[in-house]
Amino acid sequence: MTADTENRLTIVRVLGAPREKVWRALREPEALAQWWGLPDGAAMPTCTIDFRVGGALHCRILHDGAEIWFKWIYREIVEGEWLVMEQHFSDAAGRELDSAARPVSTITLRLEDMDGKTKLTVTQAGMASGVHPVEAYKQGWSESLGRLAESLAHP
Amino acid sequence: MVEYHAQLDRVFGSLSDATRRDILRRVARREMSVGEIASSYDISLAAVSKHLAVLEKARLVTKRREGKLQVVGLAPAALSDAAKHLERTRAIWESRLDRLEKYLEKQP
Repeated sequence: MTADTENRLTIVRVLGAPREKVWRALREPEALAQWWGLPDGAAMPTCTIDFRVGGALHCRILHDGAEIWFKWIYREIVEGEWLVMEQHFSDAAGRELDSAARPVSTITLRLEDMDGKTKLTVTQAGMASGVHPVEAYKQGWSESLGRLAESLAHP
Repeated sequence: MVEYHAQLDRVFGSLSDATRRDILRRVARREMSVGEIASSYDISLAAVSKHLAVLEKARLVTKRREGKLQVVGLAPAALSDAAKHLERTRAIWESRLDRLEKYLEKQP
């Protein structure tokens, strides 16, 4: 995991499955329901999915009794290889609730073959757009968790 | 919660301006007087004071008086709140990917 100076989070994971299988897990609603969502006891999301550029994954997530809606708009799809989504806080009707505290971020998922396994590279950028590095901020990366859970649970 | 969001809006709102980000970078390195900060920019002292007021309201900087000088320093707590957002996002992905791994193992 790295968090670079542009607030881009990069996570690489090697998955023990061929690329087509991982790709299906990225695009099929039954699969997404098993793994997409939030940690810490949040129920798995209920999603509708319109898998095409300009379409969206729209999910309801229950967390501590609170209902949270997110909308991920597909911006680029390269079959089996590459997926770019724009993450918005949303409401039940799919309206985007963008604000400074609920910034739009961009998620990129890239798949690469690796000896029968698949290397998945996730980047998420723009969580706090415009924030530039200062020493104190960098030190903050290593601090943990905190309030986003709350802000996600009670948007 | 409402207050927390209002505070976050102020933090991110403050950070949306390039001059304020620059001020923040400078005072993160060391405390500076208001005059010293103003001398770094082609804008009026009043404009700098306005920027400082925004940063202060967002609790990103603190001001204290030292003799005749107003000294501005970084208030690290507010920034670490913003940093926690990123850290939290990391945690969300790690747990998502753990579940994805488990899901893939179960699939024939």
